[in-house]
Amino acid sequence: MMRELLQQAGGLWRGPLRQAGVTPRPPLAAIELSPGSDRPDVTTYLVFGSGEREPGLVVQVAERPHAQRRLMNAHAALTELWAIPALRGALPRPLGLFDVADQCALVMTPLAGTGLDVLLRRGSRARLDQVEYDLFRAQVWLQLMQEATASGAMLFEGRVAVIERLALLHHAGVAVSLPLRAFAEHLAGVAGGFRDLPLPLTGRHGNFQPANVLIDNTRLGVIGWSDFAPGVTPLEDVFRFAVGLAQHHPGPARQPLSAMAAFHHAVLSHNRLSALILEYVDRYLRAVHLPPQAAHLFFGLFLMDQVLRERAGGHRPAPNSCLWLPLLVLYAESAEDAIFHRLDGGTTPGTVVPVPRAA
Amino acid sequence: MGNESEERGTVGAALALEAALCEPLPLEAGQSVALLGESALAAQAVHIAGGVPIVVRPAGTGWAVGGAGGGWRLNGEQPDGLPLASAAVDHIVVPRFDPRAHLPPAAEMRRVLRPGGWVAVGVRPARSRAGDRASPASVAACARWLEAGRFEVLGRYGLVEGATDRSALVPLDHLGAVQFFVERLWVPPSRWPGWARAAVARLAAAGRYGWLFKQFVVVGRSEPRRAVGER
Repeated sequence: MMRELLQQAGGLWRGPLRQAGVTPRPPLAAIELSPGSDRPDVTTYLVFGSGEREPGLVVQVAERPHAQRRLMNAHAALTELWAIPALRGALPRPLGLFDVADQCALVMTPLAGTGLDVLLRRGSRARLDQVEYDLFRAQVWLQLMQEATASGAMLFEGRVAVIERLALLHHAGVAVSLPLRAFAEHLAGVAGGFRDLPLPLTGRHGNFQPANVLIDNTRLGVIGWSDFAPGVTPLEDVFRFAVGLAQHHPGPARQPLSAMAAFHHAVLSHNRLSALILEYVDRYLRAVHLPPQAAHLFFGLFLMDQVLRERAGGHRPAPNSCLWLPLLVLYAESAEDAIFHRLDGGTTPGTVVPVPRAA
Repeated sequence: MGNESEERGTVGAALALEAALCEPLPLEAGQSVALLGESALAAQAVHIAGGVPIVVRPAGTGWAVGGAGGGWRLNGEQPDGLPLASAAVDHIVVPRFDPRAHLPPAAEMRRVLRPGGWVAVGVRPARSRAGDRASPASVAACARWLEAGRFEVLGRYGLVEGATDRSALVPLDHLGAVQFFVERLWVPPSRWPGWARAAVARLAAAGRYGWLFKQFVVVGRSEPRRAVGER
């Protein structure tokens, strides 16, 4: 595949690439990146021109038919978002969908920066003040993207939202244990109190986690748009980033934690990292005019949604990434320890970040 | 999460190499690929890439074609010959290169390969002396072995199974790509002290990247470029 791709990049694609102002100098070379799997859905190639120290192109190749749909979705999303000037510098520019050896390939310009997951694992951005700043930047970026893609509002369904998800979990073959059922009933009770709460409908990145966030000094770029969805409630990206950041953070002992331990450390115990995450969620909810007391409810719904997506196969996690069902069960069993109970709707602990206006 | 991926060790790394071997080959659907050595996983990777694997495994002092168990020894009188007709296969994959093991002469590989065919060789960790790391010296030995059979060595790749959730195949002949990998993508094991990480990054930036990679892929083609006037 790599050979065909390099041949096409240096041959058939030259015309369209030149029109887009991208002309990597032959002979080309590529770094192949794939999720830690022997049969990945999507393989990413960073294509370098001769003697160049930065890639000239990023090419994602769908290895399976359903991945082709995801790449087409990413292309459509990036084309739409690239038209918004306020977001332009933080997105890869889509150059087109091409065919490589009968497989769909999405060709994009690269973004500068290093993955936040890499920086966290290296310990380069693991200090708590850096984590705080990165959470803040992520929040500002999310608000910017959501403001630019806002498409109205919907009223929260209340209890139905929880009961419906529980039924879907049943239908998806998830064994709903006693603690999970009790948690769902508790959550349904909480949800009843927020019925008819107006929720904004915005674009959702769908996989907003540190591996898809590139940091370049003060700039932040976001990649991995294949799960983008327009017109949905915006909270998934907020929670997913917090959970992902905790999972890549070296932890108190400067050793990577297991997914379960990292999750527990971030949302089920009281420490400085969980305090930062709490502040981040509180700040976000206030900024979009949602009651901070609803954080516990929305986080529970978020976990249920992740399990459903995982079960439906719409989102295939890498083998080493977290599996959401154990996290949902853990949260259900320890829900009374959840940090979100500390949000009481008062003025502490976060301060409101004004929503940036998209141009 | 990190612990699991970092401590997956040689078994997991070998799996990634098996899958990566076919990547640099211009393999088209229906083309035949001779696998010189025991490797069900490499055969599966060839299948996935659309090729037709022909497993040729060592049998006594020679080589044999066959499925699991026993094998079919054809060439007892010709110890190093491959039991394949001349120009019979489109590409060759050698899953494990070990200069101390029984390898077919590269010239014999050239005979069974059709003109213009490619060969991909996996340089994997030796079981005993080299611990769990293939050395750059093995890569050089592999390149010499191919060149001795008049293969043109087209590329060397380093394989990293990531400490994050990614594996990477890096073209070692492109120093800019190696440097980019070191600066932007590489995650050293968490047990390494900070000074060691910095030292390795500097060595890699200077072209001494052997420390980064546990495994390598060497790719060659059976038609070396001939100098002007050479027959």
